[in-house]
Amino acid sequence: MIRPLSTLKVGEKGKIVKLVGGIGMIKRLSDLGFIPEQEVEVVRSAPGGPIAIRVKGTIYALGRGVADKIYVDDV
Amino acid sequence: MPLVEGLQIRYMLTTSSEKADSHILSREITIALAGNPNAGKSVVFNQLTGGNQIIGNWPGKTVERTEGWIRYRGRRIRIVDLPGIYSLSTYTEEELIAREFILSGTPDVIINVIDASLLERSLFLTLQLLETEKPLVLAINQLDVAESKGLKTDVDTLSKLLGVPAVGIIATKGMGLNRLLATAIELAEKRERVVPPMYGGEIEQSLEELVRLLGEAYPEYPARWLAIKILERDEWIGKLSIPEEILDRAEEVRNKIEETHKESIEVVISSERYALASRIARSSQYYERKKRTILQNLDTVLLHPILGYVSMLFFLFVTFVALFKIGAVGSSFLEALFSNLDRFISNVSIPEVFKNLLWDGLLSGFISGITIALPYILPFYLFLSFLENSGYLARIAFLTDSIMHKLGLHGKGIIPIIMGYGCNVPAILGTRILESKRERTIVSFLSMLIPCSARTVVILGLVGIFLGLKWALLIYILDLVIIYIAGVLMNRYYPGETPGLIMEVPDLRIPVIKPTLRQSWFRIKEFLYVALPYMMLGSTMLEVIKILGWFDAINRILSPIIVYWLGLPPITGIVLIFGLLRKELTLILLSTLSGTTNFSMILNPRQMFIFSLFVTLYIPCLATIAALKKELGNITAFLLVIAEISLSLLIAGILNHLWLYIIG
Repeated sequence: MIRPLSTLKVGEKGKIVKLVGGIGMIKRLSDLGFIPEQEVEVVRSAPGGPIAIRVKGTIYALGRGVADKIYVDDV
Repeated sequence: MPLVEGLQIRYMLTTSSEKADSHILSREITIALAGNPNAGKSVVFNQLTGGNQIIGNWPGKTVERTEGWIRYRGRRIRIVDLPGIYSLSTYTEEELIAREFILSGTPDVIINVIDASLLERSLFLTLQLLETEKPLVLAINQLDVAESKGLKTDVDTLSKLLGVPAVGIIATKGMGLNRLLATAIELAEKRERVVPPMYGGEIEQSLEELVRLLGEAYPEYPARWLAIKILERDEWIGKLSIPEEILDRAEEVRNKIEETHKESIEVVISSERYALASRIARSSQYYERKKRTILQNLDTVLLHPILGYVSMLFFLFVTFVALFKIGAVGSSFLEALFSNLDRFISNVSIPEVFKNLLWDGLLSGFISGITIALPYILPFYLFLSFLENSGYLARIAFLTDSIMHKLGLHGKGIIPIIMGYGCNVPAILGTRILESKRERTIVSFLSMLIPCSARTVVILGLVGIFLGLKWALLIYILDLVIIYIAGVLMNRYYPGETPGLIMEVPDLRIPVIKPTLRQSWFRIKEFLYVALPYMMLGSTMLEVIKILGWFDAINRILSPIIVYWLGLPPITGIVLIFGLLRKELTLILLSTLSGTTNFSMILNPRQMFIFSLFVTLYIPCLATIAALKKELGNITAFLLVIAEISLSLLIAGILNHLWLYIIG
């Protein structure tokens, strides 16, 4: 099921399908390894706040608004 | 057009003199250190350069620039530590700076510091560095950390696959650094261009075509690199005035690629780079087993939805109490030390006026600076460096992000605000960790409203002692409410938008002591350079006013505001002016002028409360203004000061009249 990364629970994994939003943000995210086909895992979630995602061995904190713009599918 | 001609001549002069310089210094070799944030670049830098380094800012930027020199076999080697970056695009100021420095042709060789435990992501930057075709050495760092995570790295294979020399190092222990330096210098002498990495077929085809079209038109840049940037729609390309037909052709090619991949070109090219980085990483690194370290277990607690907040509050509370205690002890020690100087000066036989100017003016400004800077600010800087280098700063930012977002800020904005409780100056200098000028401006303004240790003296010494601690606490709470409202309002009306949070949460680590100490020391020196001249000047000017006997005149001029609007006694007018120098001076001067330390004789409870609140809010001290000027420029600094004065007058005045109306 394709859904925004922000809806995943802690411990869940997903495979990136698509990034939406402004060019600047897409460029930044893809520079950090958020690219199609990439597997990502939700590591932490601050209540109402950002979520921490593991990508290629690194953890990034993404604001909810940012995580809304990354669409993932089941692994 | 005389103006343009003049400019042209000046331009020619600078270029020819630069050429002459580079000729004289031809024996000097410049090494640029490039790498991801947290890759260990500054540790490598410190190990290589030892003490010979200067820290400043990149021209016109707020990004720190570190440069050092060493001698190597009679040769002068200049080492420039570039800002930590993930990519060579134009997303951040850091990326732009690093890119400009690399392409300007200055570095003879690049040392690319790589975190072996994050090989694939690091190689993503390496590939882009190779695209610039500059000689490059890989420094594969933190081999020990990688190994503790179960990652074994084959340095030779990496070197072969990328076509550049690679040296395995453990920078924190100084291992492999001699070989790294020797390899870099050898490479710099050869001056060979490296072979850029090759990407997928269709991208290479497009690049080849663009390279053909570009021909020899831009000899100062590698043609293939230019072609990539044109294809990537890089903003910076606009400066080069590339012929329309090339740009049009690039557009066609780009559209075709985007159509085939159903992705924007940025994503396609990033994916290409990552595909290559991933292939190289997989063939040169082996994963064995995974063992959770103590730090990883600690991290589970520190980022926990409940325990994380509890431990953060506990940690900050303990640190603050400790910092205040250290500050108070250090400050009184220094003051005692300086008071001996007072006796010495009063014995010198020079006219009284000069003594006053020298001692009460110039020197007391200097002493104020030192007694604030060393005991209060230096420990704060150490604390900040520790937070930064251990990785805990990123965790605090993560935890506080949702609250800070209401103020139009990222979680990172909490750090300067917290520092403001010690002293506003490091708070404002600390806004550098924020990306946009908008955030830096908002955070600077909010930090200025935080009661620093000097204002704490006034609040506790006046309201705390004469009205009780509950009233003192009320001022702190009121202050937080004001800050919150000011933040929400600024977020709504300040143009622009804070981009969503995208921040690396690096692994927790124990900071290496030497670079942490050195960083703090350089920052404190910077504070002294910024603030001391202002404090000395201000203090002398106030002394002049005192000698001229203008106190009464000033009190009379200010009385409409002080007496009628704020409801304070006229004597507080001149006191508040002196507060510009150091806020706790307001209290000291009030007792000197009134001849009593029993403030209940001269102020009623309402006046005590309003006075303390007004002192907390009314105007940043001179040192803070100097820091504002440095970080945000004259205009913004001026506007923020005006805004703060207006805000404090508004709030204190209204409260005064409300109090008079309700309580009487």
